Amino acid sequence: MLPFTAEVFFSFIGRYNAAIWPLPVLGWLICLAAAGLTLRANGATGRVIAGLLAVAWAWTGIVFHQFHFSEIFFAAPLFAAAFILQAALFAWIGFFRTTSLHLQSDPVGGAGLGLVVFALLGWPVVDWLNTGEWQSVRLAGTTPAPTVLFTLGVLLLAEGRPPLYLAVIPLLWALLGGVGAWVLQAPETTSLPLAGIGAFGLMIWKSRRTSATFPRE
Amino acid sequence: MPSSRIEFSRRRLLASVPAAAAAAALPRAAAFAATPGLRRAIPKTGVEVPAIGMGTWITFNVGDDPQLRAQRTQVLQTFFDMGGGVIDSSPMYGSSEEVVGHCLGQISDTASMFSATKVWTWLGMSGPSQIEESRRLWDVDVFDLLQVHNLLSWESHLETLLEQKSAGRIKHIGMTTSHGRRHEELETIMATQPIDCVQLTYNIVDREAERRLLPLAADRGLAVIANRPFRQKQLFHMFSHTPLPEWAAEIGCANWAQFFLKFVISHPAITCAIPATSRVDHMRENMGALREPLPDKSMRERMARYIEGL
Repeated sequence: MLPFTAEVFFSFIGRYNAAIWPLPVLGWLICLAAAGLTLRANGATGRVIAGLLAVAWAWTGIVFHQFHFSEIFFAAPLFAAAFILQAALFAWIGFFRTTSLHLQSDPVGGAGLGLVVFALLGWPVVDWLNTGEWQSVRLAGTTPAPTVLFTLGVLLLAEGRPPLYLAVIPLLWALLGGVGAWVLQAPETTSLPLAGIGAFGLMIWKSRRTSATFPRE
Repeated sequence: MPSSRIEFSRRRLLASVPAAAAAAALPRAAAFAATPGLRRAIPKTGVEVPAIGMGTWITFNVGDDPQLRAQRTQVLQTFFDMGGGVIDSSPMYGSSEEVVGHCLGQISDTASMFSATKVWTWLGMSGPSQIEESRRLWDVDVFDLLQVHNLLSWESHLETLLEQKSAGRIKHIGMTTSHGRRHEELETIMATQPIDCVQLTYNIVDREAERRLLPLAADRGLAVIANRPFRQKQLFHMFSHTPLPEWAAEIGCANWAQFFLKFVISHPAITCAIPATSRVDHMRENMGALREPLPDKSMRERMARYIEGL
């Protein structure tokens, strides 16, 4: 049972967006830039993408969960810790590993692209249709659900063996988020957990299918 | 019940036109409150409270939204207008304590309030600061009741509560559980510890507490606050599609809320039930249970059999 209603949750999203305005747009643009970089295939852009994802997860963990969501939900600090850990993982990837994250011309890549597009464009539309208020729309880069979906989509674009350890926290959050959405009777009741399970499943399948190690330059 | 609010004159000054307008818009509520409602005494101190209180889980966790806060102020105003007293909250309930404090600041007469909150933290050493934060949010100097929420680290928190009671900063000490959990542990605490009150789940379908806890509370002179009297609206989902039985009018029940609440508060060991609502109309229905007659033992059995038969 959640300690708030759907009405209160989306009211909170509206006030959060207003409090950090215009950063929701900037966060979305950061994710859009990361998506654009996946069209290039080299390790340097992979580091930049990882760095941009680190920023998105760090912001969502610290500002959204710890500073704002904790006002209405006692579990928010735990989510903050998980998001900060995920940000640290992406930062480590960006600094110390070469990562090729670019659009693959295969079904896994297609699924990844689909998730990326849905997180950037589809999710805000769904929120707007659900609430009727653009202020309460959740955008990738500064709110958890679309950031998680976007991340899962990008991870599906990894060349070679996918980095499964980078998908654990997004998967767990997608499952938790789905439970929360079910309690609130919010639209993402099925889309979040399905995306999480589906993306993780595809990554496992691809990992078993490919014999190549994670590429190094 | 005298108010335990600090800066009482500031509260009067802050009493707002919207609050007065809300009260003026509720003539039935004002007339209702003219007749004293059912009151129960806390056995250890003799302090009396109305038998229907108000919970704040989910319902008052509305954050900074000014519209939602204004609406909750109307709910709270109705509560007081209709003879309410016990307000129960907790740091676990998000912004509920802050919103309660805000709403109280908008209402001119809160003299009947019985402030009941909880301490909810793993670390015993964090208890005093959390309780102090609750005082700040409620804007009270003395809590009428401070409870250990879901028995979390109760041993260390009980020490703190006993100290604060000795210092006059808390009037009563309590322990809470919900959903029928940890009844054995609560029973041990009730039998051995110097507390004044317990809070537990009790309603017309969740009657486990009748077996041991309610008789023990009566024996030990402990007040009992019943949470989840509607099982978090589930009782309405289960039964409200069925018409109220005609004989419900014999006990003054005009709706299912009053039927469920009167069952709860008619148990002799129950001091108060704390239904939660975010709606003025539902608050009116709930507070309508604060009137005689209450079901006697045979009527209670009839009510329980009726529900079992549905």
